[in-house]
Amino acid sequence: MNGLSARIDVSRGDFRLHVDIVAAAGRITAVLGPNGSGKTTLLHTLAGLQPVDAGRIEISGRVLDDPAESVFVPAEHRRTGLVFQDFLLFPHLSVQANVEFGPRSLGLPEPARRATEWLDRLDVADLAERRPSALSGGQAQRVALARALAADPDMLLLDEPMAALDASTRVEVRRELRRHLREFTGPTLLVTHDPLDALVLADDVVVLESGRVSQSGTTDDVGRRPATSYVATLMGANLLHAIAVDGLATCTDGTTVAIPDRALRGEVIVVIRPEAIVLHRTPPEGSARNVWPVRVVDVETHLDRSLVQVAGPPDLAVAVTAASTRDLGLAPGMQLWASAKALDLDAYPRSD
Amino acid sequence: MTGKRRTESTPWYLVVPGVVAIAFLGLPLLGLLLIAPWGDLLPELTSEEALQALRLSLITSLSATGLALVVGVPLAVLMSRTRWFAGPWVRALVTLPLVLPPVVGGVALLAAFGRNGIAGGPLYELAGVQLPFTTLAVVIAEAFVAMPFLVITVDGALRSADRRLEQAAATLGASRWTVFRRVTLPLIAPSIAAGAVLAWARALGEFGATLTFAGSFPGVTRTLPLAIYAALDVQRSQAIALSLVLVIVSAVILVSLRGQFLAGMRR
Amino acid sequence: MRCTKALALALVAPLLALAACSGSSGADESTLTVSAAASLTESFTELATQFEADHPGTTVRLNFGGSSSLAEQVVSGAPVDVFASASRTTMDTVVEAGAAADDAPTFTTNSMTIAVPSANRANLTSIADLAKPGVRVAECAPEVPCGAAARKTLQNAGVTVTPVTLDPDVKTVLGRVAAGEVDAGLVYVTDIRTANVAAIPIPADVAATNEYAITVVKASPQQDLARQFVDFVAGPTGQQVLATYGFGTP
Repeated sequence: MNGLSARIDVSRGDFRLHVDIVAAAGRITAVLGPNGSGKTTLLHTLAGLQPVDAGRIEISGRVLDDPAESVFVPAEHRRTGLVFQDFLLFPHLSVQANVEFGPRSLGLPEPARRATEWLDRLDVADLAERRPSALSGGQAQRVALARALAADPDMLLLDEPMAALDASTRVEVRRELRRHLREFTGPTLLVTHDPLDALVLADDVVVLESGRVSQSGTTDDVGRRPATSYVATLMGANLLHAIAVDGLATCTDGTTVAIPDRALRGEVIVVIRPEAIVLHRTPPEGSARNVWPVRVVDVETHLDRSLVQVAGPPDLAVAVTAASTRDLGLAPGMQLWASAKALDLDAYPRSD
Repeated sequence: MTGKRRTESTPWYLVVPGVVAIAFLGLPLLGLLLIAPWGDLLPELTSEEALQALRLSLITSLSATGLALVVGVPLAVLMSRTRWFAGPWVRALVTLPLVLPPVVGGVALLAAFGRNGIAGGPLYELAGVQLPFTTLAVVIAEAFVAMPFLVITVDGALRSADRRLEQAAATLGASRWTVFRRVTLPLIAPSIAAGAVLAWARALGEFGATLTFAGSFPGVTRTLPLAIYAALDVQRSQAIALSLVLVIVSAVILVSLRGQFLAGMRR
Repeated sequence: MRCTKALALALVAPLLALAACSGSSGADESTLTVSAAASLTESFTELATQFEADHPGTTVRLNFGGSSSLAEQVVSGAPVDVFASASRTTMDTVVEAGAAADDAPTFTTNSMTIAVPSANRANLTSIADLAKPGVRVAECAPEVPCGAAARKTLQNAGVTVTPVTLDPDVKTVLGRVAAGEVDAGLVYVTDIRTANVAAIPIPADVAATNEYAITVVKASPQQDLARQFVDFVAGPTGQQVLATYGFGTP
């Protein structure tokens, strides 16, 4: 197939990573999992920094690792662009030299022109002469991406691309990253513990739990039908497709949502976390600008926490405590009011 | 600003022993400055023996530093990157010259490279080459005691360096040699410089191993410290003048080294 | 009173002070303190044992060191009864300072010889062989007494030698010979006995000779006993013992 197909079985002490992963070319696949689920090990085996104990890693028909066939292509011959969590730009080299590093090491023609081209495509050409220490987090991420792409990789791997960034710049950077990742035509694998990264950046999601894949599919599918409570909690965020004008987003079903970013215009995705929604028996009076009449469709309780599906418009997943479920007497068919503060929402442009 | 805060949080009763320590270290140097033949300094230092010793010391200590660099940096890399070389035995072996009395080092060098030594014996029998009492022997003795400073400094830098930068370079298609040359080496360059300067200072001050292994002959093996010792009884003022040179050169090295270290850390 | 003074000196020479204290405490028991050049260590230890056997109740305390520093102690009033120096010049400073009770006669001599490794692979047979090309010779630096003596000896023999090293003391020279790193070293006759080396004798008229001088210290409260010790060393028994260690008769 055209893309990555990996069957990985690798043990490190007590921990065992045992997964099958497929990532199609031209698509972004998010590997979503909590800390310790094996995400870093997965990246290391894919990048050739660590061999698998058993299994096979193949990209567009080229075998990279298969102990049964005694094949192991080391990192320097693998052509996988790995963008590290903290970017790991070479501190002693300028931005330009960082991006030239790959093409030069590989003996690609015209490394300088190549580097300039990628810096340009990622809108950081003006930073070419700077040292990495003089870059902001978002700039460093773009340079790291340019460095990886300039080496002409067969596959792009990103390790927690948002983790090293300031919370205040994350929304902006994530929006940019989504656009920039579209520059790459091969398979992109993005490892993260933040469902927002998966929801906003990825086409497909692979959920990793304790070294195993607990669910995989398109982002929408996984979000809609979580297979485990972890996925449900993780992916339960509500996504609304809407058109934004002056801080007001209008969904296709006519619902309007007040969003925090007034500057955003055009097609957007509004992300509402289940925790950000409050359910009321009577119409609420308060500062929340988004209030919708809804009907309870389903109540699912995991331990001390319930996930309530309500039908609107909009259709929403709402997280409430088990105690509230009892107090409100939540049951399918109940008519309620749902509210959410505009500041608790995230909105992203749909730029693809 | 930071100095002020530090004084406030430091117990006052440490000041007295601290000042005693400063006096303990500083008084001998002050004494040297006071008995220095300031008036005759220039003629003492430009005398034939003095210039000869200075020249010899400069040549041998720089050569010893070069030797330490050529074999010491690769050793440090192996120590920080391979399991076998990182073992306790290699580590102890590398550290040993630091703690051994230099005279013992000299005796050991004779046992290895002397005319009856395990390596020097065959060398003499087969090739007629004798190392002791040659300028090369001085370089070997100095490198023996000075190399640990370089190896330990560089090994420490390699250990604290971020290995993932090397991984990043590998994923970009860089061969091991390219990774070493273009990433590892530049990253530890400040530490290599610091280690080399430290090793040079140690080589410059080497006495015991040199006397035992290389002997003491003007122009051939009598380096600055040996010349000082030889002159101490009969030409005291020359000995003190030469000592002064050694103290000043070493002090300048150490002061400049501090800046170097800090620069390396700020990177 | 005397003890107090000794205690004051104890800061400089603690062993001497202890010796003096115990010496003045017993009436029948007496302790004689002898400061002697380091090269006399073996011979004087043997002589002291014999002297104690001949004089029951007498203890001889020996204090060995470099002649010049011992002389300095004697002149500055250390409680020493007898002083033996390895050099006439050094003894002269004691005599000139008025610290000697007599004219400090020469009681023995030590002369230069050639030490070679036991194997003597360079096949050296005489002092003239030292000038052969390829022969590696160690000498003391001319600034120290053994170096001056070596230089004088070679001059007397009319031999021109370029040594490979000019060492700070005779022990270093001996060590190099014993280790076989040099083919020959110029040392004192008495050094040969103690080291694992062979000697090639130098004719008496060529070898530079050091005169060893001995004196009763003027400040000693035991002039008689001290005189007896000096006479014993200069007498037939003393000379015989010294000869077995390689020393010469004056």
